[in-house]
Amino acid sequence: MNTIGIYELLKEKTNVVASFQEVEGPTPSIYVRSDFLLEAMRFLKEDEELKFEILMNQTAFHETEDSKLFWHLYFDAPKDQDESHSHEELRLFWHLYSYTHYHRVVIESSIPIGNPVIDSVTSIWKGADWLERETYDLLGIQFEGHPDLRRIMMPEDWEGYPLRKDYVNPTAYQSIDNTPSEITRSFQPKGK
Amino acid sequence: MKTLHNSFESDGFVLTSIDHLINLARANSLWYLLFSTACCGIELMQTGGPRADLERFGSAPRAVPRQADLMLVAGTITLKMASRVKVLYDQMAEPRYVISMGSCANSGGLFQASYSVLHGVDRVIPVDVYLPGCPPRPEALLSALIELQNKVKKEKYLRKK
Amino acid sequence: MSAALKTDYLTINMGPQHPSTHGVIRFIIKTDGEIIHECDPDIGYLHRGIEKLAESVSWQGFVPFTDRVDYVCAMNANLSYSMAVEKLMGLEIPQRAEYIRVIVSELNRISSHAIAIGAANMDMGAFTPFVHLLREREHINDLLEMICGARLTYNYICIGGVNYDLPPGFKEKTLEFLDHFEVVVEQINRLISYNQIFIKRFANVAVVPPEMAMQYNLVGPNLRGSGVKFDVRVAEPYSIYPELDFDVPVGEGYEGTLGDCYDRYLVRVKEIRESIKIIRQCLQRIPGGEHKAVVKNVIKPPKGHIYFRTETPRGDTGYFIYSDGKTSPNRLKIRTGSFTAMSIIPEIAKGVFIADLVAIIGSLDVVAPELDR
Repeated sequence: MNTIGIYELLKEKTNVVASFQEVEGPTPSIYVRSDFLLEAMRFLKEDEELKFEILMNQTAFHETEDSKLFWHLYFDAPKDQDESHSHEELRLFWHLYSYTHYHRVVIESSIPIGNPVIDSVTSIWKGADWLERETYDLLGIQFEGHPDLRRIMMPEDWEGYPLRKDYVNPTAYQSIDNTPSEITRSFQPKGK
Repeated sequence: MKTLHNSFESDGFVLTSIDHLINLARANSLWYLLFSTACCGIELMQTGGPRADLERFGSAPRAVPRQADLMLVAGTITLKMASRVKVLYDQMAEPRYVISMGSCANSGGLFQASYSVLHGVDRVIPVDVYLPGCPPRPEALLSALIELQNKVKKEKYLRKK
Repeated sequence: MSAALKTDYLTINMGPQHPSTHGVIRFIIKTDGEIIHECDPDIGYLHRGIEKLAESVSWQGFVPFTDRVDYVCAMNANLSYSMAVEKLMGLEIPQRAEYIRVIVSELNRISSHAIAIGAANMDMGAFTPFVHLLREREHINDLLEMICGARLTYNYICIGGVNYDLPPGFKEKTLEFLDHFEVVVEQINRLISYNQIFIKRFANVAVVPPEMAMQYNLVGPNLRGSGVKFDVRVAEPYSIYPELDFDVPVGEGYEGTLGDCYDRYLVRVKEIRESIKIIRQCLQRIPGGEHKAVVKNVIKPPKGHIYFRTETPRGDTGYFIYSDGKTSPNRLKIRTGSFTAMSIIPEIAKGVFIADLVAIIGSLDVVAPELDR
């Protein structure tokens, strides 16, 4: 079944607030409002016509107005700290697959960066456990209802969430000096 | 040790300094710690394999740092790993040597712009031989080992205070 | 001894430097005597932030990084990424390039499975087969070196095709190697696969039923070892795979229960034979023509996102790419087979012997950089 069919089924059988995203790129997706996520996911897994038993991938990214704003600032602190983060948000993606019907769908949602909380889908797919831990570790999204939400890639005492666009590389960690050498710095692009 | 061969031919006596003799033995039995983190680890395995055969230089793999003389840092060292590398190095018995294998261990290499990669293993432990390459070929690793053997042979082991 | 004797759990640390954890992986194990009560894998010792680096390099510039995501099968990693970008751009590539891509990635699959089989044996205490397979792997390294000059990290498959055409004499040498390797697979089978000591160590250990495999999203040989006949090359065909004739081997409980370590192991051995079959067909049919489509130096794929996956030796590797129409990706996420394989270990390691944990890691074929990225 294609994405538009799945979307229509979702609208018909549940009262989830969702919209069909057609415009972006080769893959259409279904946007689900974050507070309806769990209901939508449960429906997608359990409905006989859909049967999405597999969570292939779960990911998110930090969307800023100009996403490339900070890309040259890897080793330097941002020059003009933006005080209003209102236009920024975290966009989440879930890629589902069905071994019964051999179809796939992309579910999309977004949460504000000031309050990055969303429901965990670990109760539906066990495989979501580590994927969500990774997203929490690298982007700082709090998954409510996750059984064991702690850092997975970075050490427990790491500060900040590296995949956010305004993240600045640390120059030291646990008394180990990690300041980039002159040669390393010379490879960095110079400003905008 | 140039005279060794001639001495045997003439009368069977060898006249050399103890330092030379000990260093010859030490240089040809550099047991290395099996410590591979990333891509270079596969090339290290291939070097230990039949074609390059690291063991003909007297280098045998050891799984325990206490038995090893040589640490081959094969691969990227992340900040999370850095303190563990130090612990491993501290566990090795003196005299100990380190070959930093590959660009990542030398300077962070391809990943030096990353937030979690250490800019060279020499920030946590002293390095004897730097071996460039991403990853270095087995021949290059053998050459680095021979270089280290030359270094060991030149050391004044007994006279050192 | 009375059954009511109270014992405490002993916490054991395994890794990050351990000869049989396949790289830098750490396990915190709570044991009850020899039996594992709880196993908590601690990963991230090789987390190099490749996904963040992708945001600052050009689209073509990311190909060398994919080599390092999974260095045991770098060609397959190149292929996944290049195809994902091509799909995003809607780029057509020449037919000859498709064939070359399949040939090199299947060759790389053989060498990766050789490492997997050898390492599984080494973990079980059999060092000789590992060295034998390293010797065979050198032949594949030679072939790939002929093509692109590198032994391990190739940077060969690029966006739009492949970087160089096949060199003269490659076909003959490859056929010669395949003839030789078919014999080696037989030898390996006689030496280890049907060796009772090896079977006793692997059979009936850490059984993963098909339902559990799906819950945890196991992929590739690990999933097929549980009896689920699913292969991305067949289910979501890409490149020229629909035209090729090959089987998808699945676990059948060869020496015990369906989905045990032995099934996962034997699926890999059988896959080597299928790869040989595929390469033979490709070498026969390979057409002439260009090896690379015309691609600009600076590419800007249109705004949008894609999740594209291909079958690599460790299961399907999926690349999620979000492009905002600029010269580098806005977000790139790599979902790998080792990551999900690792996440199942806390569940299946419950109640097995400590020595069997090594068998589990070996049979799941976990590679650290792919796990941590």
